[in-house]
Amino acid sequence: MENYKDVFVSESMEHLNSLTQGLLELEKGNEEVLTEIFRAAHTLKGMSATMGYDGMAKITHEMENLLDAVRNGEVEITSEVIDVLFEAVDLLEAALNSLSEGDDENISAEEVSQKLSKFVQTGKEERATTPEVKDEAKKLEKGIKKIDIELDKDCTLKSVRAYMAFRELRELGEIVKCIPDEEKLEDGNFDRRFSIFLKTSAGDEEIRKKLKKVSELSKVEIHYCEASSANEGKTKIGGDLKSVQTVRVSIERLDSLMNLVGELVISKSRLFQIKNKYAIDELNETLAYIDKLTTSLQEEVQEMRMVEVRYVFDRFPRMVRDLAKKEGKKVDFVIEGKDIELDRTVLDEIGDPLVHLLRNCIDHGIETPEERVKSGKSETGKVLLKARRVKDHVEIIVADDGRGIDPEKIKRIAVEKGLISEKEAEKMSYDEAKMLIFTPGFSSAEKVTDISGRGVGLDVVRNKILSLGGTVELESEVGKGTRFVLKLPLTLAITKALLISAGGKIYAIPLNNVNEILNVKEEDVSTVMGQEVIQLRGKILPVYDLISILGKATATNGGKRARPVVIVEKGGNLIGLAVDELIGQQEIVIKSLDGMLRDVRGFAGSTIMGDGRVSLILDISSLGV
Amino acid sequence: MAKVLVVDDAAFMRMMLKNILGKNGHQIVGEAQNGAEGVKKYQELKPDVVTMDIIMPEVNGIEAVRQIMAIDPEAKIVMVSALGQEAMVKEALEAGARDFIVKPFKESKVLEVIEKLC
Repeated sequence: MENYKDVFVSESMEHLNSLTQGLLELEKGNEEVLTEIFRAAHTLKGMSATMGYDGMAKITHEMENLLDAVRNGEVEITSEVIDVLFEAVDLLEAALNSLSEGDDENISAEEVSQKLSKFVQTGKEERATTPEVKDEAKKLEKGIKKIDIELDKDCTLKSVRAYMAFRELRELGEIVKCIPDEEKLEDGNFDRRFSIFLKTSAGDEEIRKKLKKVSELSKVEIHYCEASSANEGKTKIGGDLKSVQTVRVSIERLDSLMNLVGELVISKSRLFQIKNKYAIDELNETLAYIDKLTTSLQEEVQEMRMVEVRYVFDRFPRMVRDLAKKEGKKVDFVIEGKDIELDRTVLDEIGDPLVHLLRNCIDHGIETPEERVKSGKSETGKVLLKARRVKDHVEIIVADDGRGIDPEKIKRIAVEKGLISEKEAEKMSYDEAKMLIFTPGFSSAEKVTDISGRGVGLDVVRNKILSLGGTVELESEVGKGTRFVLKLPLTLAITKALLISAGGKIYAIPLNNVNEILNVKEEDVSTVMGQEVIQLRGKILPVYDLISILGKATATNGGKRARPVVIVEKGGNLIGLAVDELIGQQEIVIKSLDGMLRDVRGFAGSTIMGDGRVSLILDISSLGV
Repeated sequence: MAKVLVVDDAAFMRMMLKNILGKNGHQIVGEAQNGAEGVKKYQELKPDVVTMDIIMPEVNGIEAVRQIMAIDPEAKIVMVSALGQEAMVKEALEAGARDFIVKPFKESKVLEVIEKLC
């Protein structure tokens, strides 16, 4: 059984996810999702019972009962019903989490089960006193029928016959699926048999009559389809048509595959160096081919690691709902671009920052309904979470149409907390003031709620994004709303970097940090208040000697001689890093620093060069200047 | 018993059909060698069923189906197709043909199709 546990946990998580989505929809009044929710609960019940997880089985059993009662119109969907169902989902999730950590399910199913069954009980009692006719409506609901059709043995244009059968059946309802898939049927690429799943309210006789019109059908069988299997059919439509097959692979395996590909990339550059060193021409062709192969391999693995942002986004509607309810605010939460893909490692890391930003939107951004009406807005606030692909990175936007960031209030708080002085505050522009919310120690929540203001401020969010090689932008207008834009790289593991040498060592600067490169002559550098600066298109920016900020001796450094300066963006400002030599651009495989080196500031990791030497990768955001 | 109009450019095919249908009690009320003639004969003879070859000179079978359907939306037309003409058969069905038979035909098949329509 242990072997199945991982599969059980991951698959159950998916079902829980669809349960949550479904319940949210149901709360909005979309009763069409009932079948799906019911199915998810049903499947979970079966799975957990098989695994011997009695608590989960009991809860899902009661959920199933309640949902069934709702379906039959015995219980009405009220906010309380939804709440209890959510409570059950939470417990199931807790059980799964505990299981995935190697523990038992560790939940007590009693309380929730009782709550769930109470609804069913009262519903049944009410129904007993006031008999309803909802059953009728239920009967009329369209069922799905599976129609097995066999063609004559000597039927020649099979595809056309299938086409005719389709045409007739379409008049009776919607064809949700067929086996084999439509493409195969169209090409006549099937044996004499095929099946059509028809969503229809027509009776068997009607269906038979329609199909009688089609010649060369030797057999027609009509089966009722259980809701579940029809739905399974439905979910498979997309898959079948594209004939995409999937295999579950644990993420560790992908990680290790990526690592191996990384090693291969390194060996490849080593081979290139050997070729150049000994000028072996015969190697050229093979090496060019290997180069091409490793690149494709790398892209393929990278592609495999890409995960749709929905895996993170999908858990937010529930959170937003709960928060808004708790705060007494009305929120319309819109998610866009769920199908945008990001590397799994990046995606894993942005979950918490996004939670934080969304909490901020609801806690600080969106006003109470009364406040909103007073300021002439609609009662319901809007929160947008959107992902979109922009060139080689992904932008995630978290926006609200709430009260916006009031610079005066921000300044006042910053002064109170001693982050800036009164004088500094007076001089600050609006843009500078709003950036204060990213300062460590700044949290404008006046009291600590369990929503936001838990000691972690937006500075944590910002640092996280920066450490991923991304940036955070903030736009806000008082009274209109706030908008955070996170720019994230698609992947972390292999990246392009600029190699430079400084103090006799080679360092790599991730290319997405590099704005431009200048060759600065001695006379271009001036000193302002002890800081070396250069002018770049009318702007003055500080130049630091890379070696000295890395804490190495600067004895050899003449300071003002002509040398390359790499312009990078750090904390929203441009700074120059003076280096000894530019070496070139190269793809590097990032190996993280761990163990004792984990907390070394200024480095994002290390990489192995083609010649086997190790180079450190600079982390501009944590560079101590 | 059905009154049948046979439209085909090959005399041999017309003969085959005539034989099969005739000996099973159907009446061949007319023959046509191409689509245009088929449409004209349809108007004159008002047959119960038309068998229509697809590839014919001047007006082809599909076009003829369209024209006949325009005149009489209730017309019962059976396409006569060769192997490999799936796309054209489908087109003809879209245009309003009721069914099809495939050359070389078997007597039982032809009768099944014709009788189903009557």
